[in-house]
Parts: sequence; C-alpha cells; structure tokens
Amino acid sequence: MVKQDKTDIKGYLRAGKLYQLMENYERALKVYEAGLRRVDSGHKLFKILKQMRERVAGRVLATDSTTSKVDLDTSIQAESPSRQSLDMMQILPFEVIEMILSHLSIFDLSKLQAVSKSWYQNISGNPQLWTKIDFRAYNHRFVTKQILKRCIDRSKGSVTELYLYRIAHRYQDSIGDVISESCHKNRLQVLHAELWTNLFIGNSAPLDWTRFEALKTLQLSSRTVGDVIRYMAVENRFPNLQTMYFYGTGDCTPVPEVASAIPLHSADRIQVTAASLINGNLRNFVIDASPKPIHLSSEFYKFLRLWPNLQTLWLIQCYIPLQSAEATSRRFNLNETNKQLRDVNLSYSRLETMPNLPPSCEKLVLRHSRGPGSTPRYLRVDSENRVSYADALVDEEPQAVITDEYMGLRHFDVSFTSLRFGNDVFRSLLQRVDASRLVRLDIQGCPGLTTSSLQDLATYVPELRILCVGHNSWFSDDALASLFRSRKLEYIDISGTNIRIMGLIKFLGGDDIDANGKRISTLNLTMRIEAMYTTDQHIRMQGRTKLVTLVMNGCDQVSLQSSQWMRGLGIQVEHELSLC
Amino acid sequence: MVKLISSDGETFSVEKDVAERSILIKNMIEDVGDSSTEIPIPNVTANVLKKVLEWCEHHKSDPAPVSEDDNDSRKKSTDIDEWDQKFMQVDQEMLFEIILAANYLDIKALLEVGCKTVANMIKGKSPEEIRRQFNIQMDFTPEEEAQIRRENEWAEDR
Repeated sequence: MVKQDKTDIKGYLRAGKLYQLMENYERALKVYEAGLRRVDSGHKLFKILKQMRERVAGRVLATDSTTSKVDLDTSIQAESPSRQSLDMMQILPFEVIEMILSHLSIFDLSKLQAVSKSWYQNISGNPQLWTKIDFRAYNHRFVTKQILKRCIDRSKGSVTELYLYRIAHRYQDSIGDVISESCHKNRLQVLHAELWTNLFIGNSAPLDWTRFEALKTLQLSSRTVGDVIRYMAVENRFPNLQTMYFYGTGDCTPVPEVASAIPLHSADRIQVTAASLINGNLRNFVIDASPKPIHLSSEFYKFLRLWPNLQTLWLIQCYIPLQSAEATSRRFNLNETNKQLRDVNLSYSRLETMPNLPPSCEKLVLRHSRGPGSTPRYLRVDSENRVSYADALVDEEPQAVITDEYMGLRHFDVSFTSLRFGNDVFRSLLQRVDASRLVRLDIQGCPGLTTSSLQDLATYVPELRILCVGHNSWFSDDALASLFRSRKLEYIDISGTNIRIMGLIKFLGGDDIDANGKRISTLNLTMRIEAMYTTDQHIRMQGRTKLVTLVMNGCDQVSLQSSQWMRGLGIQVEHELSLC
Repeated sequence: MVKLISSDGETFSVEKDVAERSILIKNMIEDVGDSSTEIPIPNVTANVLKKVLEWCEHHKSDPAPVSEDDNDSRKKSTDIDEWDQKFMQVDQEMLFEIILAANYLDIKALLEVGCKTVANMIKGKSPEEIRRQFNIQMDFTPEEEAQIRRENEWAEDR
C-alpha cells in the first residue's frame, strides 16, 4: 500500500487519482479505502474521498478499463488556481497560506488584515497564526490592554509563546486577567514579562497561575524572584518549568531581600513535603540582578534542594550567604544537592565563600566577584594546601575558602575578582582541577600574579587551549615568552597589556628560535591585541601559516596593504575597519 | 531513470534519486516496484515541472529532514540559501506554480523555500503595497476598511 502520512487525506486523494490516471483502478480503490479507514470522518474532504471510492469501485466492477477516463472533479481540482488573479489567498490551498503567514510577525499580520476580505478571513480566522505573540520589537508606543487582548483572542486561547514588553503602566494591574482568560487552553510554554513588575507584587489582580501548567520558560523581573520561587516550590506550580530567568529591570525601587519575600510557613515544611515538591524538570535558573543587587537568604539553599537536575545556575550581582552560620558548615555547597550542575556563574556577586561543585560542573565563572565585607580580601594557602583568608577579621574564624577540588572544570574564570591572591594560591587552584580537562582559563585583571604563574600553566594544565590574560600590568614580553611551553594554546587574549610588538614578533617566531631550540610557529594561535600602536613596519613578521586570526582593534596605523598581506598568509583579520 | 509525464504531455527522464525528492513519486515508485513505469504528473505543466526538477537535481543529495517537529526552527527564520534565492527569482505566477507543484508532489523543502520567499515579499509592506503587488481588489466597504485600519493602526509604524 502507498506509504504516506496516515492521516493526510489529501495524500490518499492524490495517490488514488494518480492510479486512476494510470488506469490501475484496483490500486486506486485500495488507496481510497485505506484512506476512508484511517482518516477522521469529520474531515472536510472525507465526503469527497467517499465519492471517489464509489466512482472507482463502479469502474472496477464494470471491468471496463478501456472507456474514457473518469471525470476528475475532485477537491484537488477545486484547489487548483483560477489563473487570472495573483492573489495568493485565491490561488493557494489553505495549508500553504498558513505556512506562508506563519513566517510573519503579529505586526505584519495585524496590518495585512486590511488588504481584502479573503486576507482578513485567512489571518483573523486562523488561531494557529496567533500562537506566538511577541511584542519585543514594539518600541513605538506602550502596549495597551486592547491591543494585547485582540491579539490573544485571535489565538482562541491557545497561545504558546508570549513576550510582553512595555506594558503601559495604567494597565499593569488589570492585564493579568486578560492573559489568564485568554490562555485558557493551558498551552503557554514561554512567558517573558521582565519589565512587567506588577505581576506578583502589589495587590493587583494576579495571573491565575493554574493556567500555566505547560510553561517551560519563564522570564520575569528580578524583583519577583522570591514570589515566583515560592509559587513554584511551596504551591507546586509550574511542574514542567525548565528554565527561569530573572533580570534586573533598571528601576530604582527597593529590591526586597529574597528571604523576606518567601513567606514559608515554617522552615521545616519544605523538608516534610519535599518529595512532592521536587521539580526534576528545572534545568536552568538565572538571576541577573544588575544594576541593583539582590540579597539571597540561606533559605535559598532549601530551594536548590528541590531542583536536583539543575544544570545551569547563574547568580549574577547577588549577595550569596553561607549555608549556615555555624562554623562547621560555613559552606556554599552545590555538590550534594545539585549533582547535574554544569555551568555556574557568580559574576559580580558577593560570596562569603567559594562554592563547592559537583564533579559534573564544567564551568565556573567568578568574574568581578567579591569576598565578604567591602574591602578586597586576601587569600593565602597553607602547607596543607588549604586556601583561606589571610586577613581574617578579629571576630572571624580562620575560614577555608576553597574546600573542594574543581575536578570537572573545563572553563575557569577568575578575572577581575576583588579577591586578591598570589602565585601560591593560583598554583593551589591549578592543582585542584583535572589537568586533562581544563581548556580555558580567564585571569584578566589579577594583579597578585606574576610571570611565574604562567610558567605553572604548562606544568599543571597542559591541555589549556584558551587563555585570557589581558588587563594585567605585570604581563610583559617575558611573560608572553613563558607561554611558549603551553603547546596546546590556540587563543591568547592579551588586550589591555603593555606588550610591545617586538615581543609579539619574537613570540610568533618567524626565524626566531626560542631558548629551548623549538620553533614557535607550530602553534595554532589566535592572538587578540587591542589598542596597540602597531605600524606596517612592525607587522611584517615572517610567514606563520598557523596563525589563524589576528584581532587588531585600535591599530589605526596599519594599512590595508598589510591586511591584504596577512590574508595572503591565510590569516583572517577581524575588525578590518579598525585597520584602515 | 524515471519517466515523468507533465500534464501537457511532455516526458521528462530523470535519475531516480532526483525524482524521489518528491515523496509522492517516491511512494509511487516503491509501490509499483518498477521504476521504468511512466508516472503521470497531472497537476503540473512542463515548464513548471522542468523548474521543479532543476531544484530536485541541485538538492538531490541533501540529507533528509531530521524530524517532523522542526516546525519551530522553521518558523523562526526566513533565511534562504543563496542558490535557492536565485532559483526563486521568477515572476509571481511561476513562483505560485512552483509552490503548488511542491505542495502537490510533496517536496517539503521546496515548499518551505517557496513559502519563505512569499513571506519575504509580504514582510513590512502596507496593505496598499500588497494590493498593488498582487493585483488584489479591495472588497471592503469604506466603513469596514476604516474600522479594521483603526483597530490595527498600532502595528503600522513602529
């Protein structure tokens, strides 16, 4: 039997018609009969399929295959164009029109209803076109309740993605019921409404969250984080949620401390009922509180316990407390509760201590992070390789800052952290990672380090491929030369350093041979150099065909000729504009 | 080789894997079990079929689409690859004929390219421009038109 989409009635009609044309009426009959069995009898073409079957059945019975061909006035002909007009609404079949219109935004769709009656019917009457309502590109004016309602109503309650931006303030209190009412088919999978801060806060009519069981992605203002987590964890809402984003919205109203925004009935309740509240679907949890920091409370650790399959945890510009104030558990433990974690980003956050990571964690970013207190804190390492604060305040216990090994890490970023550490602590960090795994290290803006730290790289992390070491005043020609021993390096970012072009030329080799007698030109390097006064005269290095990319921002004295010359060597030159 | 006969009686001989870009034809060949049979293509004229087969020839070694639920990625992008863009530089009538043929012959990728091409022609245009472009008669009463316009003027310029 003909293979086709088992429920596509048109497939049966077409295949049957083809057999009729080939005068193979028995096969045509079989096709039509199969179609009648498999296709929903409520389909608008079902009657036609039945007629065709009867017609062919008569033909087979008559066993007269020599007579003229059957009349083929099927729906297929009905769908064929009236050739005079080029109006697609007249020419094309319904499902093709839908395919075309599905590429258009709600703005185009709304406008084009005015073209003609058939356009109006095809656009306004097809809920499928209105399932993704995206106001992100709407910068013109504020979205009003009427606009939103009209768009959502067109979907007949089956919106799957809703992106709300710039809701007019006077509607913020009342728009919740529009959405609740209009999403009654419970299909909403994506809701972005981070500028819409009244969603939870205040006494406005809130959304009816029972309508959002299908929700997979939620993106809201960071001001609502406490309320949303409570809804989710305590009332077990959003069982299918996979990704939560909370973004700072730039407004200057006070941000509540998350602890106080989570009115747990009692501290124990969560543990008692934890089994039923665990959300194994949640994969990504992101708070980016900037510009205004958010205070997390130690309650937050309880919620982490409810999300055992969390893979991404970003807490950006947050105050992250200790799990418990007791001396024995002054920890930031992620390795017991969240064993699937892969990506942890704590940029711009204030950390009482460094996190303990599960072995699954591949990425740890501590860019611009801070230690406790307001001044820079100094780290030291003792003879047993324990890292602690060197400048413990009087009332502090000496505190082990890093208690765990970072064995899973492939990407480690400690750039611009206000934690001050020297070569010894750096070496201790390198010893905690798996030498065969770490491929990227970011140590921009680490004033405590010196050239000798770079020498350690070849010893402890020989597989390193990407090194970002810019914005360090200690970085010199010698430091660059010491990287020579890291043979796997492919990309070095030295933007914002004082390296001179001659040092670069020496490093890149040409006919130069380093102290060990090896030619550097076997390195497969991408070099990022920024804001250097490089001239044509300097750039004429000898042919290093392995150098793939040379990023040269701010090198305004390099002529186009040089860039052509480099391209001739197979060197890609990014940011060409800045070369001219 | 497979023999295809257009609605106006012209015969095209093409390689089997070219013809089988069309799921309809592929199923026919499998079903008949004999690729030497002549296959009539009753809804497609010779000039359109020629064009469609040119596309199939160029795309004959494309990997099969991964799954049915690639709907999402499809909706997001109206990017069309360069060869296809050139291929679709035909007059509007031919464009619609190609789309109809692709739909009838069940060539999903070609149908998709055709739909994206039309969508790109429509994007960002005003109702008047669309009417002019496709030679469409405005059949609203002035009151009806005024009302629809009023309801949707928010979408006009952003």
